[in-house]
Amino acid sequence: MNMTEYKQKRDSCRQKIASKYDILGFISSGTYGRVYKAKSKVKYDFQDNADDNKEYAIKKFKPDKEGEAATYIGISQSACREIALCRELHHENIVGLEEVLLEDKSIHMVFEYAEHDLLQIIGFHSHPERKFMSEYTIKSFLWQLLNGVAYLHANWVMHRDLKPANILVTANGVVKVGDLGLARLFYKPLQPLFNGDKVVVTIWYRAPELLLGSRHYTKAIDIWAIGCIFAELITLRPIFKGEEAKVENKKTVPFQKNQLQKIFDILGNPTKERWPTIDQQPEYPNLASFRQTPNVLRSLYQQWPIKSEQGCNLLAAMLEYDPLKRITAEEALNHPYFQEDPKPGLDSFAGQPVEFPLRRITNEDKDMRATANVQKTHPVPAVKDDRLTKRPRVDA
Amino acid sequence: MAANFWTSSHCTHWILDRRRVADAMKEDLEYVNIDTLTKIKMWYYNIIGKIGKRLQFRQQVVATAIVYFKRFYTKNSMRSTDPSLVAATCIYLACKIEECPQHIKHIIQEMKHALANLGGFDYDTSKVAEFEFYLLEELEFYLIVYHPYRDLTLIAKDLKLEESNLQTAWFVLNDSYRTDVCLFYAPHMIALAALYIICVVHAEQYNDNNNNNGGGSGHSISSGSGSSSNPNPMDDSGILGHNNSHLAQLNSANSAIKAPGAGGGSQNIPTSSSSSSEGQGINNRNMVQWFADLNVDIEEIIEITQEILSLYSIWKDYEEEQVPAMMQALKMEFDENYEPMTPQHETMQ
Repeated sequence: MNMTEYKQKRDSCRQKIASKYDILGFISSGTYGRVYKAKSKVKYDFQDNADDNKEYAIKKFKPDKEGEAATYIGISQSACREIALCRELHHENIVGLEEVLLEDKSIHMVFEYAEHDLLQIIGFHSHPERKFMSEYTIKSFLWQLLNGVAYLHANWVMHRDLKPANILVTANGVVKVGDLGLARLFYKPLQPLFNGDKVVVTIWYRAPELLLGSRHYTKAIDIWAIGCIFAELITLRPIFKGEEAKVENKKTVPFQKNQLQKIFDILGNPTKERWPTIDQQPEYPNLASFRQTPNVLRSLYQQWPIKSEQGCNLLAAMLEYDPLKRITAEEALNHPYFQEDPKPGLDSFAGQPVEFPLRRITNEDKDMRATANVQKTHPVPAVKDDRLTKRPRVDA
Repeated sequence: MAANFWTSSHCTHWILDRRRVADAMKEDLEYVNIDTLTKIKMWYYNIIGKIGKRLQFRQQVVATAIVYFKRFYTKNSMRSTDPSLVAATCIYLACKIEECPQHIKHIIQEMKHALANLGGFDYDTSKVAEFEFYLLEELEFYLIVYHPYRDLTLIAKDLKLEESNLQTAWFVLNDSYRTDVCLFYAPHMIALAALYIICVVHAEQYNDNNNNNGGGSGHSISSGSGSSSNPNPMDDSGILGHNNSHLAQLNSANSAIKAPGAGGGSQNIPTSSSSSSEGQGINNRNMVQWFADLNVDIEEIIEITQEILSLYSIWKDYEEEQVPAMMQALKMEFDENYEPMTPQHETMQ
């Protein structure tokens, strides 16, 4: 039998996105699809500012197609994970999923809107005429990031792709961990993690156990990434800015020698004393080819704008080679660094003189056209998209 | 979330009111009776289970697919939809969510194979993929499902339950997916009911039987099972697939259990022969006490137990060969010349 009748019934009662949201413009695109800024048509009377319609980021997934014929084969594993997890997670520091809508044969995830992200903020500060971030702001970002990740970890969720671009910040200075497309439950995985996605985490934030080919990685990989982000918030440039070895064929993962060298240059070579099970890592034999370097993290930190020794202790604890010794998110939240002044706050921007530019949105996209003419209210941002390449060296 | 059932969508959105499920069945029940409808559904659960076995899924994947299927049919009738397309899509989606993605073509191939004798499976890749949207929508995009297996394993560890008993309880859980208990009760309650069945109800039966035929192997209830000598708790079969005598025992057990009195005490749970069960796998009296001491609603456990046991009595006369005729009865609306038995229903013309 066919299900025409059923489908017609369902199709007819589905609400149109345009009936609920005004599309304000296009924000960004990726392999997954495209993100748009939108505003609710409905006013939320129960909110304090009743006249303010809430803003959202609508993530529209590209259909998962396969092969030359481009047959539609259903929603992607990544969209599946993100929907499944975001639908369950509710936390102040995790980006909230308002609803999921179907239209135009695509999944649309409606997220709460965040005006900024750490990539944009770091980029803004790294402009030669601007200053470093205040310690209060850094500490507030870090604490809230850890708070969100501690919640994920307590719920057996690994993020697996923490990087500045995925850490969103609202106009009120609240951190929202975003992009759970790579995240997954690690409780009793039905498949070893390694079998699923051979490569996770953007290379600069990738933990040493991943770079050494570990098949049994844990939530500690997220903490390593947070350590890298912490250092980057302070210095405004990636702490381990390696070059990714290109994947030559899909079956094997290349050895990331350059990235490991960047890590060793600062932390010294990993030893059996520092990381007792290092000889069990698949790429362990490759370590013999590296030159011997000392651990210079502390002396490097001395040259950075933050002077707190506890800050350095926390950074070192997050950048611990041995994943078993690496500090957990929960422990990090209780680290003495957060007891010191300036104490972290809920509004990371509080008392800060900097006015960050608003997220740039455009009307160039032809897919989901802006339905409201509100562009005039959004100033053109001062920061361009070449932030990554044009960063001042601060430690040279 | 994963660590906390109480804040999960499963708990907050998908523990349902019985009336809602009954409403969804109304249309179907105008064409077939409740037992027949149950058997038709069983047939589809079996299809999902068979495909899971052929593709070597873990039991949890099969369980998630079955829960999706059930949730879909709390909002739709079987008559107005095609359960085979729904089942295929449920399997496809469950594989993705349970992190064992399968190629859509494999699932379609398996569906064709499984349905070879029942009208076949006429959907191609794009049709299943398209239907995934509808399924997601019906599931309200709540995709993470909790299962009682983990609870059972934890409790069994705590109780130092014998492996054979754990396996029997595991089979009872597998069977529980043929009932709707997963729509009405929290997974840990279902796990407790499975334990209750094997430790209290079934053990009781066993002891009574044992007293008559002069002792058994001392391994309580699954000793007579025809299953392998090395029980694999990941086995996807239920008790039914293994040994019909268990079925008979469980059926008679159905009449033996009673809900405890208003006081909630355990005095109505039979304990008389527990003295003879000393030295057996399960100490019956201790188990009764253990259940009585639990800080859970024991009446709810009894309800679940009854629901699972009543499944066994329906299953007793389930014959796969009868399913095509049942399906025909259910789908009669598609015969244009068909005159319905309930004229008031056909006022659409």
